[in-house]
Amino acid sequence: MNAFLKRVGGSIAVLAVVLALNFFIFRIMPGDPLTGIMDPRFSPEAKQQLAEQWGLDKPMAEQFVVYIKEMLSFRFGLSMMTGQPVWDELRSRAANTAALLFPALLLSAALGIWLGVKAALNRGSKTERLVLTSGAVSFSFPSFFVQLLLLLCFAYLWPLFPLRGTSSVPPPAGGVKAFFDYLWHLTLPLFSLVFLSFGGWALYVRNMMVKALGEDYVLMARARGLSHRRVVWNHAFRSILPPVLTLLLLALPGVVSGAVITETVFSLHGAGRFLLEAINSHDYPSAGAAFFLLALLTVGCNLLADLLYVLVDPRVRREGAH
Amino acid sequence: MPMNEKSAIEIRSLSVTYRGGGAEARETRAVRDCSFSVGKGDVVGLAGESGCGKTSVLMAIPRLLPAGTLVSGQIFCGGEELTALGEEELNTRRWRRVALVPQGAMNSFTPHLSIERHITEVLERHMNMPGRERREYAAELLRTVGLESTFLTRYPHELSGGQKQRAALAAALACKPDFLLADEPTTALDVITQKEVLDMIVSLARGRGMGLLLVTHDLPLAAGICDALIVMKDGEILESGPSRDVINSPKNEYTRRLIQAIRVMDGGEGQ
Repeated sequence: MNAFLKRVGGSIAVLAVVLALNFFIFRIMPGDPLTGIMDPRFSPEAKQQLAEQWGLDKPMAEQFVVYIKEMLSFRFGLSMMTGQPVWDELRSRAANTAALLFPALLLSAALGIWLGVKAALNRGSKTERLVLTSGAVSFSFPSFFVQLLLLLCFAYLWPLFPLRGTSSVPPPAGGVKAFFDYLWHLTLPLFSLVFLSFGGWALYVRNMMVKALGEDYVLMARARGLSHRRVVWNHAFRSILPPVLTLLLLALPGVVSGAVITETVFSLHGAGRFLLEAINSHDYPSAGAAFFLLALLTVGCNLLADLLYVLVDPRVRREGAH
Repeated sequence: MPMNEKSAIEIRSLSVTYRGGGAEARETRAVRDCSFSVGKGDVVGLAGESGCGKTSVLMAIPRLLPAGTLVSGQIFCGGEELTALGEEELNTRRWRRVALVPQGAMNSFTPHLSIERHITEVLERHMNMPGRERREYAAELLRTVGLESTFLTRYPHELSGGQKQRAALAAALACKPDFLLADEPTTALDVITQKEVLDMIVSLARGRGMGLLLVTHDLPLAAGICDALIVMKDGEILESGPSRDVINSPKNEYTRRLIQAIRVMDGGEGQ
């Protein structure tokens, strides 16, 4: 428990550093937000008026205090790009991001784990060679390259899927049709993400399972006449479950950050693309909020991974008993 | 020819050849044409230096050798020929016909499963026992090996070496097997615990009418508790017979040298 409280304290410290960096990094970047949102022909007075409106005329220390208060109270203010509340902007995009990323993470993890286990069970076979090769290919290709290639092949040369966006123009009438249209738009980005991520899972799980299957307790589980499925999943795989679950949780923030590229390549109306646009246009409130939420997600996932490890591994759970 | 009814296990012309991987595909013959039997309630020691093939014999019985290993010969247990069974059929006989007390129980328990789960999952698999009965029976088994029923809820890392070995014995007895294999079951235990655990294995096996094959490299220790001894070298059985005969009047030069070497090490030459 003490160790966990220490981790919570450490996480709060990390968040504090991220908050401070969030504020200063955007302000020391070349360029300023007003140039991006105002017509160059506007008068200096108009520019001054805009600066006052956004609080950019105040001393840096005062701006920092206002920024900290806003972040800690989760009132992120208005987006400089759109003039809409940052929360509304994020909310309208987060659904698309979640609809793409969560299935992508779960599907790639499930596929990678299954293939990794199959490869470990069939050492030296064609199955193992196929998994190792496809895993290495999946793991080593840059995401934008694969995604552009998929767009070229399956949206341009052989137009099975749409080139861009999350819905057709004009959108189809009717809920069911609109839903399938939405799925159709997400298919190619989803496939690309699964293709890019399953390899890492397959290679990692294969290596862990090879080691686990060689353990004495797995041999003993076989000696006890347990079914093959029980030996593989309840004894061997279950023993590597703690690090696999940890990796799954730690992968989540990385996948969300990776959404920046995917949503940009496929022109999706998502939170990742919003983050990129906010940085490009020096939209301090939007970029600050997006990075703060991402940091919260990272820290939260880390803590959750710690908790989950304790729950699934009795050696850690019962440490205090000794 | 069917097996002798008085035998718990009968092994005829067993040979084991390991095949190495890689381009050379090197073959190593670990066991050559071994035949012996163990009667019901009898304790037989299988002794020899490291690498002589005794563990290969032991692991060949429940067919737990690495994939690709060549095994020939016949193994009979509980009135049927195990070597004639397919993998699925044999899997239903493992632990019911032949159970194993492993070498150093340290790593033989799955770390995330409680001692109760290790015992009850074999009862569920082989005995079709209802849940509540399984727990009561598991507690009874633990008491049989001198552990309190509170050990049921413990995890392997919470047990000492001796407690683990006792729990391993309790798990091995769960399905009332015809034959018990013990692979150097007291390795890594202190001398007092070694004796306690060995005496317990032997008395429980005798008391329940099981055959027991005790694999060890400690010939005098085996001689003290076994009815018969088998001495192996380079994969072959050099000598076998009642323990007293093998120790007091060994027929083979290797057995003689082995006994002499151990006596010298113990400082008991000439005794």
